[in-house]
Amino acid sequence: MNHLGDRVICDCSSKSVNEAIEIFSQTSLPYKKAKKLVTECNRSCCRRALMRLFDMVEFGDIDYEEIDFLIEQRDIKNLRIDDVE
Amino acid sequence: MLSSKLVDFSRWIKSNGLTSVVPTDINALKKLLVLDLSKKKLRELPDSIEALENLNVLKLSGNRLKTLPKGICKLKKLRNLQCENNLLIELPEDFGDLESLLILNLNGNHLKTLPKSFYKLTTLTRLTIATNLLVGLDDELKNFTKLLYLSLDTNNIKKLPDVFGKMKALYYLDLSYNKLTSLPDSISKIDELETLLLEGNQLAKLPSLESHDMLIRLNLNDNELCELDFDFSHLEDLQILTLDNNQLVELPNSICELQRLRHLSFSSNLITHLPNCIGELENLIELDMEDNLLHEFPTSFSKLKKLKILYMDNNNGLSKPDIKSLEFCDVE
Repeated sequence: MNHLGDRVICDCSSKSVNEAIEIFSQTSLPYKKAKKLVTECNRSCCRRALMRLFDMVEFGDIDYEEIDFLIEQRDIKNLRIDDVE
Repeated sequence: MLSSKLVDFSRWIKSNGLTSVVPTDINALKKLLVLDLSKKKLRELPDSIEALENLNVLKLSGNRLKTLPKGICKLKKLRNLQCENNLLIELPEDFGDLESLLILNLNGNHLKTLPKSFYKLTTLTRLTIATNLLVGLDDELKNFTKLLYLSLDTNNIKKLPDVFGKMKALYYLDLSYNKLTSLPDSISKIDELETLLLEGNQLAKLPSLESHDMLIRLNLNDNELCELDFDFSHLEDLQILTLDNNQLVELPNSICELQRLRHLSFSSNLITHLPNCIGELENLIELDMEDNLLHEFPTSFSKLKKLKILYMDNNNGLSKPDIKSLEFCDVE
């Protein structure tokens, strides 16, 4: 699953899934504070994948394929919203 | 006719290597009540699924389905349909024929619109269409009077029709992450509302929320609020209030009357001072006031005897208060 772990989960900070896992593993902060350590901003564009990953780290079982799907979904959604606008 | 469809469905089960999770025997299929095809990497379902005439629960979440077969609309006994995290771009035209449906989860698909017949699903008690591409909803949503739980978050909705007037039993409403600039007046008619999530919209003004005396959780994060001009004291059951990332310059004094409030968060605003009465929040456990313009605590702050968690970094030179109950503070 290494290639899935290398995928960028947050475009703002360019952090990968593996980097986000490392950050979430090393903090005891709640999600709303911990996410800023990954995103380095206040935006919420990568919220769905990040929130799910945070939960997975909490429970100790990472489903890389699900995270990959959620990142994919976000990218498609962003493209389609750009289409609408 | 149905038996040939059962044979067809049985063949489909075998050809997709699903025999370990679904029976292939025709009689067993005919009696099947629950079908769980979650996370099977499915790209399509056969139309012959209609032959499972006794099906109550159908779980299709976590696949790669772009459409659902028309036959699914003939499952007259279906009560619970889970189709989260697929790639659905549309629903079958006759989707509203699922007349027994109580629970519907379409979270995480690519739906831009819903078919007209969708609004016949008035028996629904739980509806989740979060994380899709919906730009609006039909006025006919007003007939969903049995709804208890409605999640429309993370869509592209700019305006909601005024449909909540008869949704008296709705206790959970999530409208987060849309493009709402205003809320329909009928929101104030939802008598039983306990959770109202409005995060990530473009709300600059709110309707009065004073009628929601059963509200337990209110989330207004990431909006464009400059002021809160209704009387909070009526929200007597409120336990969680979050106002992060707005443009608030002060909090109303009526917040101090929220005797059940346990979590209060207003980080990343422009607040220069706290209400003098803030010490009256005697059940407050967690307070997040990080990233504001505060320079001192009012005297009453030391009365917050249950406060355990305090975020106060990025203000104007605030020092950590001396409160014995504090277990965590982000400033030393």
